[in-house]
Amino acid sequence: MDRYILNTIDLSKTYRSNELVVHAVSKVSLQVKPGEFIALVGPSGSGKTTMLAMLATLLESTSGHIYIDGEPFDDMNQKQRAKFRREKIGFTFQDNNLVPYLTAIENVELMLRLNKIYSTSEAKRAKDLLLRLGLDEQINSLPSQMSKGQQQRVAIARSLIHDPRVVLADEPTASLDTQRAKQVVQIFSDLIHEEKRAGIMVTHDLRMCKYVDKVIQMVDGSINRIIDEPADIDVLAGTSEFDKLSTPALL
Amino acid sequence: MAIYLSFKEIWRNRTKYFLFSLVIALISVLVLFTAGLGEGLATNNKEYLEKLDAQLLVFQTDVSFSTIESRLDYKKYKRARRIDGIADAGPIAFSNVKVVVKQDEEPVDVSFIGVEPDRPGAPKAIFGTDLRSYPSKIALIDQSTADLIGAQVGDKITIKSTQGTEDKLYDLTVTGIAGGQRYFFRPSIFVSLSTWDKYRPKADPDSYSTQPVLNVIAVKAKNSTNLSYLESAITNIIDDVEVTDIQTAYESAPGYSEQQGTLNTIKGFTFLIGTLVIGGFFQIQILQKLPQIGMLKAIGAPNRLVSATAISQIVIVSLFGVIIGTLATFALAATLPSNVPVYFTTSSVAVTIVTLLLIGPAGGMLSIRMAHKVEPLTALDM
Ligand SMILES: Nc1ncnc2c1ncn2[C@@H]1O[C@H](COP(=O)(O)OP(=O)(O)OP(=O)(O)O)[C@@H](O)[C@H]1O
Ligand SMILES: [Mg+2]
Repeated sequence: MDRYILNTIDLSKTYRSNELVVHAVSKVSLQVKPGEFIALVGPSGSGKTTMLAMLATLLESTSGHIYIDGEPFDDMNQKQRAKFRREKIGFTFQDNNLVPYLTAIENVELMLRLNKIYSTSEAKRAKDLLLRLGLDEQINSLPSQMSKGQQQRVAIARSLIHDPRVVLADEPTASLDTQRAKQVVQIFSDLIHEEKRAGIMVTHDLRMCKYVDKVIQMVDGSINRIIDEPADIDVLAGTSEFDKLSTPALL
Repeated sequence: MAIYLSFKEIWRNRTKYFLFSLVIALISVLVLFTAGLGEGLATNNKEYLEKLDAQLLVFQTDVSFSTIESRLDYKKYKRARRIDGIADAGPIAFSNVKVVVKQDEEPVDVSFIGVEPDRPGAPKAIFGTDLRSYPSKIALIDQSTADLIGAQVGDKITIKSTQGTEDKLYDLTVTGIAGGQRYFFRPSIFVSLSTWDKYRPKADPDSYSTQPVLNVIAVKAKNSTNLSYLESAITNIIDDVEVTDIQTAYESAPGYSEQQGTLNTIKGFTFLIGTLVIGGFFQIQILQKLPQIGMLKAIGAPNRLVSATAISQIVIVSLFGVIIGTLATFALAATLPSNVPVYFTTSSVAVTIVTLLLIGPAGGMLSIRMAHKVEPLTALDM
């Protein structure tokens, strides 16, 4: 078996509309080991979401390769991609994560039902996961009855319940206050480490980076810098170096 | 899975979907009533002819199969009975009289039909006895006449008929009651031909005969599989006659096809409106749900599931609406007075309901297409 769960080689995405050519992602090679949680940071428009979209097979790359557990996924049709997403990927979006007419527990179970692995014992796991995320009171609440932060925690539970190899999150804490955001990322990080999954989280908030194992900074579609000791980020706080890493948003 | 999702969604938005089901129910009521009215009017028009124990009707030529314009000599009827291939034939003569319903109340129009007892054209009694030639002052009335005047077998009824310039009243004894035999929107009274000629309204009160001029001859064939052969045989042997089957005969009645055409147009438009309303509603639903559908696809819901959910939702909501509408229609119909011509036959109700259930998915086609086309990438706001 490959020593990486996720491995990309020279992954690129170019958007062409009329005369305009945008190199959203250019020649990105990154590796994520089992149990490794990576933060993807960088200014707006640097290609972070585009990167996640390609890793989740939501977007086709222009060139380059992606390997999951050593298996390339290049020639998948629409149906195979959907199957791949529901089996191998857990995704937390920025918002609109939940099905509005399903309760918290039903939203998490949805992933089990999609994978046809729903059973009472699996449902028990879904409930335990929600409890662990501090949602005891919200198990049977509809999304409209929950705060944004509670909804995001349900989404995180949903992205983990079906035992995916790769867990992706696009600014999952954008709508949370700092305190809440830290708690959520902490639990998220624990769940990725415990089960030896590969996790990638896009964030604008560098304070979230102390819960990850590695920070990758993207600028203009390429990897600009890799910080292997994210704890150092706190040291950088307040310096111009810190500001360059991040974006004006939230800070 | 699709059923699970659509039930959850309908249940959690039950007020909205219930109200929309009521719209479908109202459309169903409208369509079912239009169909019932069409059936009822048609029945009122054709009931007598449709129930004839005969396959063919003989008319005078060039009257466009109009029973009232057609005039046939009694001799032609006698000749018809001798034609090979004819099992039996009966003379029919139509007229209108008024029947007295109650003292001091306006008499009501009825069809006054002269027939020969025990020949095609004479209906069978369901109460009392079939019509006989003697005594002369007896009548067989149909169920709707009996309902109208509250007459029973053995009762005397009074008809009012214009003889020359005077209105005359005649009493007839009811010896039998037949099932519904309405003709040309009127309840019917059947008498023997000679009684008919004597009592029917006419210019000269003294000219009547036991062998009067008829309107049409009802023909019962020996072999009902080769009617066209018999048709040409009759027209070859008898001068100046045209022969047609029963259905063509009542469809040729004045106003019949126009009336049915109008009602069918109304029904067609109601179906069209229904299709557009259902289509519009579900399209708005889908438009509101585009981000959610994108998200479902992004987490790996197959396209098939998304479409199946949309379809099953339309089917569930339409089915519910049509069931309520059908029940409401029958409840409403039960409260209608019996002279309102709204009839429901199993086949017309079944056809209507199936069509109503099909217009839902037809109207929702566009919204299903829209759901199908949502890109999973929309979940990322890209
Ligand atoms: N559908 C598209 N067509 C053309 N260009 C696009 C499209 N989607 C994204 N881009 C461009 O690709 C680049 C990368 O976009 P992307 O959304 O990946 O950035 P990002 O790092 O996620 O930014 P943000 O922090 O604002 O979310 C941007 O320049 C963007 O304008
Ligand atoms: Mg982005």
